[in-house]
Formats: sequence, structure tokens, C-alpha cells
Amino acid sequence: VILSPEYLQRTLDDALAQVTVPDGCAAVLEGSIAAGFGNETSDIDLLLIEAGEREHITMPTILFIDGRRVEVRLRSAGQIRRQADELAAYTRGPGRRAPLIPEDLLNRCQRLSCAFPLRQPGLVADLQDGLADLAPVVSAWFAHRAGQAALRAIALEVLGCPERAVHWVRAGLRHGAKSWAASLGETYLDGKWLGQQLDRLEDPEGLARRLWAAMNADDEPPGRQLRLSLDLLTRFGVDMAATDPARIHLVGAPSVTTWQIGDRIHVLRGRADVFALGRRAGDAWRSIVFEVPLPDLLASTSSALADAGPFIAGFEQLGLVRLARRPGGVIEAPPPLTPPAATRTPALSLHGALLQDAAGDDQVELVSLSAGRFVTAGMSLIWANVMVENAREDLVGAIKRSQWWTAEAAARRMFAQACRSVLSAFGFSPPAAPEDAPLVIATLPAAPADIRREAAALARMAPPPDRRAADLLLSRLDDFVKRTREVSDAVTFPSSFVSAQAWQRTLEHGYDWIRLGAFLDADFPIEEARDLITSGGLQPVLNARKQPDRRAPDKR
Amino acid sequence: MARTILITGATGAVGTEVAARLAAAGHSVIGMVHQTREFVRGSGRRLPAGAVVPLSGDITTPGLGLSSRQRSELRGRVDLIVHCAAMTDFGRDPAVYDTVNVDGTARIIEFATSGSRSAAPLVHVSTAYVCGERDGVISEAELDTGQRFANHYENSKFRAELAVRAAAEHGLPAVVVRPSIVTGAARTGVIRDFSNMYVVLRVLTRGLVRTIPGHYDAVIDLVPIDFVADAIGQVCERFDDAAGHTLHLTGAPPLTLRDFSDVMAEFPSLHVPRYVPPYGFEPTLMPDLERRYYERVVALYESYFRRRAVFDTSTAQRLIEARPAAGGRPYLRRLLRYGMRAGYFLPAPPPACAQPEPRTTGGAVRQ
Repeated sequence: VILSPEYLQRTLDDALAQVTVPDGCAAVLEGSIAAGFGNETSDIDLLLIEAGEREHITMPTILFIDGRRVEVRLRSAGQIRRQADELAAYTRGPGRRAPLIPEDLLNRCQRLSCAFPLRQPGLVADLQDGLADLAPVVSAWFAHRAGQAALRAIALEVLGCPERAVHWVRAGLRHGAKSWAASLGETYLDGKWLGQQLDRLEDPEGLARRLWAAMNADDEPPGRQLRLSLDLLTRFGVDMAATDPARIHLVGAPSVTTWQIGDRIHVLRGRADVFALGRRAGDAWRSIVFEVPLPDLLASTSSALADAGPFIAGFEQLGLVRLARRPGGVIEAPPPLTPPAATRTPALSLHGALLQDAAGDDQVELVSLSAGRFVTAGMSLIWANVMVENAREDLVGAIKRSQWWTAEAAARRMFAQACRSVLSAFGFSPPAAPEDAPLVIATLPAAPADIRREAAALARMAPPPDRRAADLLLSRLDDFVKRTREVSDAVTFPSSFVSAQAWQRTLEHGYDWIRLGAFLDADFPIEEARDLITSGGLQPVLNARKQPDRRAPDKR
Repeated sequence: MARTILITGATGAVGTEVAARLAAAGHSVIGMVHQTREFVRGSGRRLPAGAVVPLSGDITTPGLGLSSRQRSELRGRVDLIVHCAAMTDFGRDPAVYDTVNVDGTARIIEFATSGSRSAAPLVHVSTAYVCGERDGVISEAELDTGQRFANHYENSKFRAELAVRAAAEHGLPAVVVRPSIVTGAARTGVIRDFSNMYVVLRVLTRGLVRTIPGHYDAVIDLVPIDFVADAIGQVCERFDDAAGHTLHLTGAPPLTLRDFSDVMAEFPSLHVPRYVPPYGFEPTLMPDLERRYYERVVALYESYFRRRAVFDTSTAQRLIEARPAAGGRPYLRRLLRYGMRAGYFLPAPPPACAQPEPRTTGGAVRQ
């Protein structure tokens, strides 16, 4: 220990003078200095132990004494015994549950096991005796982590990500070395004193030297680094028997679903995040078949997409799929990566999310809207366009009959719905009220200037007094609608009400969105859309028995 | 009590599983075989030699394709008949259904009631879809309610059941079991033949047909094959209790099209079809290749995407102990996962290689 017992006692006295704790507490030094490590900048970690059963918080009190940071924790003897029992429960009975021990629990117990008594050594020794033999427990705990990191590295190499593979196998090496050290009694958990731990061990095979070399082998090709590291892991006692890549496959991640709108593939993570995939990324996603050995999976995709591997690795990093080993189950993964959401405007079109780079085939982008708002915006976009067509039909009919009041109302409706379609494309979800939509567009900085200008102008439209004015207004509205559809990639939107074929095309646009809306139990733009889901669009005025039957099913 | 049991369609998926159970229970099982003599179970394993005695026969020819002496000798030995043989494939010539399902059943009835012995008890394997396109709760006792049929298969099975009922009124001890759509084993999803609904699912999940006319709340009733075989085995064991009854053998709980949509979306490689209202749907507007797939495969099953039939199982629950070991979405996941492991539900080949599939695949004839 780098500090003398006298110094530590003085520090304890100074600390006790600054904190309010029950009288008669036992005290120990724990942490890196107690374990024989540390340097001039290391903290002094003091643990005060109160007799009895009270629950104390783990958070330490931070003091500064003699130029050093001193952390003072208070726990009861009962609390410590319960922790010891909890730890022992993981190490008893059948099965290998040591890898499941929470890190904080293992760390608390390990620190006490190496603690240096400063007051009431009898109570401290009693509590230390209550702890399980930690060497095999800590060794198994690190070996599991080493094995998991190595499997991830192997998978990443197969998936064509050698640099990530090297990073992960090095993480595995550090865990492997800790496992080996623990098996020889060096149980301190934190990795920062690994060098000192290895220095204290008998090392006839020179494993520490080989570890140093492997961690700094950047001149070697990644594949060779991986092989050397895996071999060293075996020397550290990590079971690498079942690491054939053919044993590794993909499995689904909870609550991840795929929804295609038009040609765009969207992957939902949970019910909140929407990832939009470019064409090649989408092909890679569609190539994923669960439970197929990774090498076989990549071989099967090679004819359609030569480099699916890095895409798949990226999907795994985002938490959209998981790696698994047979036997052994899911390979542990870090928390899913969540990139910043795309900033593109407009955010979506008739055909799903718009990508930052429209030509970006490889992109996997987090949509700026939450899933619920995204699908609501999409359905509103469709519905606003349907309403534009509906209003236009009314407008044309009214002009033919010189019904100027009706024409004026239809024109306003057509204009307002066109504005709402633009707002939906920009991600307003739900869109503004028809009364507000034109002025919201007119003042929306992200909207194209010509649309803003025309929206402001049309918002002041006067009722058409005659056919010529009405025709001009219709023409102007058609131009406006055309521009709004250019913005929302909806120029191919069918004239929904001119024929059965056009209505079917409208439905196909709408039903991709409605299918997703149904999954998310989203708010539908009108209640009729929900009816389409629940009744399949059964129309009460249509008599099913009078509908033409294409296949003429036989009637007995 | 060990009996001699004749099974028609004994090499079919259901027939083989039933034969395996009856043989394991100690019965002497004679399997009437037609095109093949192989008794292969869903697991891919063959039944042990001698477990089932194969007998070449053909229910589509007079006298079951047996000589009168063979018939007489067989009739003298048989204590019970399980009639599994049927044409379950869709889209065949209507005459095939008449020949196999209607006339074939009539010949089995004739055989069961022939000779000087009292009639041989008959377990007739029908289908829950003799209800045709009826919606709502379908009771097991109901048969002829003036229903409309979606296809010749349903119609033929209906007429076969009528024949069995008529024979029962004249003294033939009979039990009718009505499985719904027979699919993979409850716990594993394993199925020997990917036929019928599997073919539709393959076309849909490959994205070859992206739009189907259907209702989100339409009910597709899938029943595990191991439950069906267990149930038929129990009916054979407790025939006297079951005689005169009809039993629905259906899934629990049944699945809706929305369940299909949401579960298929969990698998990246599987396409999810969009369901559109049937009233406005027009297949001639589909792209050419998609339309061909639609007409050759999906259209044959279109009616099932509109139905909301719920099958009452009161009688089955009273008479048999077997219950489906799995149902609902977890069961559907198992079926899809097994289909992928078996290479059936794999992504479609690149478009240039794609060709319309044959109308159906797999051994759909339970004979």
C-alpha cells in the first residue's frame, strides 16, 4: 500500500470530523490503494460500516484532505451481508450464472474483500469471511465478457468490417487477461491497473508481453491480428471452442418491424424510431434471413448484393438485428447506436421518408419524426391529396354550371388541402387546420419561396365573378397543386375519382401508409380510414351479392 | 384393445402421423397407398418397418383397385377405417375433386358397409371449411345451411360429408373430424409438405404479389398437424363415445390477417402485403408478372382473406383430451421460422430469374 497506516488513520480522523455519521462505525480503506495500486493522484476510498441493518445510499461524500480527493461511503453490516448473500446466490447451484452478476454488486463485494481495516478489524474480518471465494467468480465473469467480445469480432470480420473486428477483439483481450489474472487471485475489477496486476503474477509463458504486443499490432493485417488475439485468448483460459463463424447467425431484435411504402423500406425500432433505407441498404436488409449461418447468408446474397456484410453489421449496431451463436444464444451487444435524426425537409413524400441525399442508395437514416407522427403525416399527405382531387372535381362541376358560391368554396378547399399536403410533407403532424394551413405555409422558412408567395397570394383569393375568372382560378390552383406535388414527390398522384383504376392506384398509395398506421394504432386522418381497416372497406350501400364475381365460385 | 385399422391416404402428411400414433398404441395398421409406399413423418424419419402394413389401393377406381377376394379378406379383418385420402390441393379440374373426394368417400362407405359383418366404423376426415363462406360462429352439428362455397374443394368435401351422414342414418357408425388449415407442429412448426396456405404465404412474403383484397379482421384458422393427428388417434380410441358426432379440430386462438401482417413484419426478408377493400380491387390492373402470380396462386385462396368464421369446438373439447399446444402469433412465428430454416420462405431470386410458380406445390393429395 502506497500510503502508511498512520497517514490513513489521520485521513480517517480528518474525514470523520467533516461528516455526520453514527458513532462507533467500523472503517476500512478500499479501492485501488487498498489493492496495492494507485499513485499520487489516486483517490482515498473510505468505507464506514455501521452495525445493524439500515439501508444507506451508495453515493459517496466527496472531501479534499491534504491535497487528495477522499470518498467516504457509509453502509450497514446488514447491507453488506445481504450483498454477500446476493452474490452467493449467483454462484450456487447448477448452471453458470456468474456472468450475470451485476457489475456494481461484484465490484462492491470485491472491494470489501481486499479492504484494509482501519477501525474494528474484527467486524471487518467477519464481513470479509462472509464473502464467497471471488477468484473463480471474477475469472468466469471476465471470461464471459472476453468470449462475447471475441464472438462479436469474429462476426464483424465475416461481415467485412475488419477495423471494428480488431477493436472488439482487443476489448476481448483485456477481459481475457483480467479473467486469467483473477484466476490467479488478482480480482480487482477496474481495468486501469491491469498492468500492475500482471506484473505481480507468475508468467512463465510471457502472456503479459504477448498481450502488449497484440494490443499494439497495428502494422499487422486485421485478419492476422484477429487470429493472434484469438489464440492468446485461449491461453488466457477463455473457452474459444465454439467460435466457428458458421455457428454465428442473426436473430430478430425485439419490437423491430419492416414496413415498405412504395419502394422505400422503413424499419421501426420499437414503436418510436423509424429508419429509412436507401435502395442498396434496403436490398441488404431484405437479404437477412434469421438463423442462417453468417457465411451462408452472405453467400446467398452475393449475387444480388456483393457487399451486404457491412450493411448488416451497421443494422446490428443500430439494434435492428442481433448476433447469436449456436449453442449459446444471443451475443451480448452494447446499447444500440442512435444517430442524429435526418434534417432534410421536406421529410417525407407519398412514397415514404425522403433521404438526405435523394440518390443515396447506401443510406440508413433516422427519420426526424417519431413513428407515430411520421405515419400520421404520411396518411395526412395522402388524404390531403385525395381531398384536393375531390375539391377539384367539385370546382370543375360548379364552373360548368356557373355556381360561383360553390366554385369559391371548392376552390378554397382545394387550395387549403394542397397547403396541408405540403405541411404534411414537411412533417407537420397532425397538419394545421385548413383555415390556418395557407398562412402557415406562407411563413414557413423551409418551404420554397415560390410556394410561399403563391400561398400568401391565393389566401386572399376573391370569389370568381364569372366563367373566365373561374377558369383562371382553376388554372392557377392546378399550377399550385402541381408545385406542391413536386415538393412532396407526388406528381404521379392519381386523379382519384375519375375511374376505378385511378381509385385503386390511390388505395395502393394509401394502404401502404394505413398498414403502418394500423400497426401503430395511429390516429387516422378521418374516421372512414379506420373503417377501411376494421371492415375492409365494406360499403353499406354496396350489396356484396350483386358485385361481379370474377371466379364464379360454384354454388351448390 | 388392439384393433386392425385401415387408413386411406396413409402416406399423406396427416395420414402418416395418424398411422404412427395408432401403431405406437399397439393397433395393427394397414395403410392404403397409391402413388408411394413411403411413410415419411414431418421430422423426415420413416416409420419403422412393419409399423404400418402397406396395401396398394386406389379410392378413385371401383372396388378400391382391389380384387374382390382382397376386398373380402380386408373387410373381414378391418375393425375401423380412418379415411384421410383427399384432394386438398386448390385449382385443379373440378372433376378431380368429384373423383377423389366425393366418389372416393362413397367407395369407402360402400366398403365399410359391405360383406356379412356389421359395418366397419368410419372416422371421416373432412374440413372445417365445409361451412363455405359463412361468417360468424359455425357449430359442429351444422352442415347444410345453404352456404356458398369458394371453390370445388369445399364443395366436394361438403358432399362427401353429406354422404357420410346419409350412411350414418342407415346404420354406419361414423365420426366426422373437421380440421381447419393443417400447418406445422405446434412446438416446432415442422411440416413435411409445404402446400396450400404455405404456397400463398411464399408468394406474398416474397413480394411477388403485393396487394390482396382482404379484411384486416378476417380469420385464418391454422391448426397444428400434431394436434390433428393426436385428436384423430383419440377419436379412434374412444370411437363409441364419439360415434355420431362431428368435431372441429381448429387452432386456438385463431389468427387474423392483421396478425399475419404484424408478424411477417418482424422478419426483414418477408414482404407484407397490403390489404385493400375487396369491392374496388381489380387484378387486371396489376403489373403483368404480379397479376400472373395473383391469378395462379393467390386468387385461389382469395375468399379466405374475407371470412370471419369462428369454429365452435364444444363437442371436440368434450370428447377428446388433446388441445393445440400453441396458437396465435407465437405459433405463426414458429411456422415462418421453420419455413425459413427449411429454405421455403427465402427471399425471391433477382427479378431477371423470377418465373411464376406452378399453381401449387407439395403433396396435397392425402392419399
